[in-house]
Amino acid sequence: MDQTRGSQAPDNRPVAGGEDHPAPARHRVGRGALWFGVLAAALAWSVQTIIATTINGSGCITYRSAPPPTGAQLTGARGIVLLVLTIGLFVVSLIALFVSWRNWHAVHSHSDGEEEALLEVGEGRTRFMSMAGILLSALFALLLLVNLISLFLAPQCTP
Amino acid sequence: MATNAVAVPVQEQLTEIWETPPGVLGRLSSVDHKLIGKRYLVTAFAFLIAGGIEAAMMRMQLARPGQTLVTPEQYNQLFTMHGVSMIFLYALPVLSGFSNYLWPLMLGARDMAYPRVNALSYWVFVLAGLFIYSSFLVGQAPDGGWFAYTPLTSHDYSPGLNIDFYALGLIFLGISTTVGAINFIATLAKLRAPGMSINRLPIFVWGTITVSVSIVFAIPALTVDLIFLYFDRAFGLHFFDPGAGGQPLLWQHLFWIFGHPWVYIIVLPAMGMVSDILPVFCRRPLVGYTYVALATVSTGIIGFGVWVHHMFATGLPLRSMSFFAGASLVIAIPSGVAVFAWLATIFYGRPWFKTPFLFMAGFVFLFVVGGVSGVMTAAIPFDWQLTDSYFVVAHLHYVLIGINVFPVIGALYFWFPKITGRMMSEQLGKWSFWVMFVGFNLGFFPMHVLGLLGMPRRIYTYQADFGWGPLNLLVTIGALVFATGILLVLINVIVSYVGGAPAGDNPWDAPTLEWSTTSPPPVYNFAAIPTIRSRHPLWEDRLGETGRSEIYGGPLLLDGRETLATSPLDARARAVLRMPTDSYWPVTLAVSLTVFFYGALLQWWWLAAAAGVATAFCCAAWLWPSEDARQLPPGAVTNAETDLPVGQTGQTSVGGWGMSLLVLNEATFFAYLLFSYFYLSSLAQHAWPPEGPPALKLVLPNTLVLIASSVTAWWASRGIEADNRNRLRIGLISSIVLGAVFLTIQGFEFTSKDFRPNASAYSSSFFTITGFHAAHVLIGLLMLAVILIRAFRGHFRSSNHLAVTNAVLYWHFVDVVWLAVLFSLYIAPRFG
Repeated sequence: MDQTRGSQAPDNRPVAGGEDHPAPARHRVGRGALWFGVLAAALAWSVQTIIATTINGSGCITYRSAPPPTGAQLTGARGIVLLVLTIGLFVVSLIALFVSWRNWHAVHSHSDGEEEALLEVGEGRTRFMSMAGILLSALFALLLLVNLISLFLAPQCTP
Repeated sequence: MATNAVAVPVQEQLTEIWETPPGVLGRLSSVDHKLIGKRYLVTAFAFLIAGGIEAAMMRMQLARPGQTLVTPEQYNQLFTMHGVSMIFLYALPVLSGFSNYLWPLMLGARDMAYPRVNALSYWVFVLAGLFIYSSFLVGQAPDGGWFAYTPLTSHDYSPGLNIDFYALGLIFLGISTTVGAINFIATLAKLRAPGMSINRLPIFVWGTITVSVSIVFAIPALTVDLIFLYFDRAFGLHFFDPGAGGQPLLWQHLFWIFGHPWVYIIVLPAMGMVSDILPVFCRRPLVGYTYVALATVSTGIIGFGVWVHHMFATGLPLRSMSFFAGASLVIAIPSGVAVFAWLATIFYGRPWFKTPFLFMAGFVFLFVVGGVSGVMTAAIPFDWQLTDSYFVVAHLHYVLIGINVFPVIGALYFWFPKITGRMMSEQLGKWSFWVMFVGFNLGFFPMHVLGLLGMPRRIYTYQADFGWGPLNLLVTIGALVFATGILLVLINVIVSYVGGAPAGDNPWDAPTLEWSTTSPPPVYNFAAIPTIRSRHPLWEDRLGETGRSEIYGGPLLLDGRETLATSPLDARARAVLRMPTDSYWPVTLAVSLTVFFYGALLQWWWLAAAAGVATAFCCAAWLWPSEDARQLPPGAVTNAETDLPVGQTGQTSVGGWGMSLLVLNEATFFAYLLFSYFYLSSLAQHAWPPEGPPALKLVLPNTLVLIASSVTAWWASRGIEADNRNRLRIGLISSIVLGAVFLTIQGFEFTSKDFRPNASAYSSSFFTITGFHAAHVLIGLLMLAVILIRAFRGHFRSSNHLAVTNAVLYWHFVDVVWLAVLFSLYIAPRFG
């Protein structure tokens, strides 16, 4: 039997046709750190949107029998919770960004080719996921920042 | 020729193993993804034409003021069915068609993960579409708009069958969409060629996988919404009835929680097509692959957080709406990244102005126009002026036709040679593009102006002195020109299919794996399973990439229908999979479901019940293992060619992925049910529950009964893992008995309540949520019963018990859901 036509392998041996491992830098970064970088900021934004919408909206329902507040102030326990929640989750997104950047720093030099090759050739699954973490974390951090600004600028309820 | 590296006798042997049985009956049983893909494409285009005819009739009606070419009711049915046809019956199915056909070829597999489920998804799609269209035969097509807002679609204001066709038809279609999505996710996770790590996937695959995950979380929202609507109409429940504590806005929330992700679902794979096709005609790789792949994923995620922008004019709290407005603006960033990547690819490439290139380049322009109008309406004050006007109609058509239809037609020109072995006419192709492009812009750009002039959506006619006449006439002319362009495409397809020039394996000199096969591909796709080492397997020499993929030297896998199972991230080979063969159960199950839905439509409950029983029987028969499968325990046999084990068991197997994804989908369904309960309770003007919190004296011990059944199920599954078949049987029997006791006690609790489901919104919610949970318990009991019968027949051992694992997972899920229901309906009301 042709030995190159496929053999089972744990991750440190070539398999089926003898290909090299697509993630040569996988031992430099833990899977937990990789997935945290990829997912944490998105989850933080999702949680903030759902909870903040609920908390903010509940304040407007309370005033069903009276005019709702029309200002943009953050008042009372509700306001404090909204602020703490949003700032806290924004910090989580920044942590995810930092973790992703650290992952990237650990693996980005581990393949051949310059930046063009990096973006186009397809080497390094670990590097790809690190970059994914950076881009996704940055985007969702921006979304959380936008929501934080909304807390101060947007009136709580609709007249 | 592509498969010259593999001997002809091997090719013949593979053909014999994989080919579909001949004749009509044979084709009814086929599970070949290529045949299913072609069926999807043809059927989707048929619905495109139907929707186009509806649009043409609307445009003729609106071409001049004060016309009466159709009646107002007919007009309502036309715009509703136009929307339903395009958004549900064309836009995703056409992408599913391309995905079904291409995915195994792009990924280096011999089929999709679940070939029979693939067949089911098609049959359910076509039958659901026919179910909805059968409404025309009785003159009661859906007429409440494609988004069917309540209270207009409640029984009081829509007493006919129109909205019942809509609600039941879309619930039916949702089954196809959901199982199809699960199939794509499992295929990507488990069936890629070795070496095809996630950073080497075509962007089209990124697009389809993003929307498949989105579907798992989005469709249940629509299903819940439609169930509520159907129950309100059929049984007098009160989810949307404000007089009884219901909320019409609940419909909108649930609809758009589904609906906005849906509009990304129907465009992201098409954007992926652009990202894969444009580089071929620029003769260079895509600029910024990583950015474009992540732009796709991030758009899919953010798409779940913008739904309220469809509700800016409903009076929701401003600050809450601002979160969604912000997200609606920021979502333009990944879209912009993709646009610049495409422009850079053109700029830094050597454009080859063939028909596919024209459609992809045209798409970029239309995407930008549609995106800009979308960003405009993301601003709340701007939206307040233009909501429900023709400005929105312009926007949605620029994005839906621009981002779906144009890339799809371009993709048709691109992949037609691979599918049929023939080239389409280039001259007719260029004509079709320019006629479509000019006609589309002529037809839809003036709609922006009409909207700014105040023309509302969905109006039947208008008065002459509004000044909208000339622009409407222009729009109608443009629409008819656009339709002519579509007609040219259809003519090209027919003419080329019959007499087009032979295509060869790779007429476009494209880089991805599907172009390594013959045109059309052999029924088995790849004679040898390839090994991939780069993103552009067929361009490696010219790009000087470090890896060299091996297309023809891999394992042949000739012992039946076999393909390789690989790991999710890096596609490391893990096992040889025996694939399901052709079967009549998918089409039979689809027909059974059709009968069920007609029974529900006509409220012939005996028919619905009989069809329900038939459906359960079909599922059990389908999943009953064949003689061959029973005789080959996985793990105990090793494939001689690869040294890999044959088959997989456990939760990380292909079958395990499917059940896990189904559980995730069903958990999301219950999450939306509970969301609705809390939404209604938060807005209740009277006490919620009206008679105080429900009693705990029956439900708490009953909960212990259900938890005990999970313990015995777990004990049973651990037993078979240790090859203890007696323990398996005893554990299963115990779980079934305990589950039946749970249902009995719950039934007693229901009958002892002093309120009925149609008493109020609270009672509607209570009985619907607990009722659906009970239905899931019943399904779980049926599953366990089938597993028990199989256990007594000696089907299971420690190396072969995936069905047990799956059934027990489902059972645990049912029990966990009960804990959430217990907390929400019985415990939480006690805390005010």
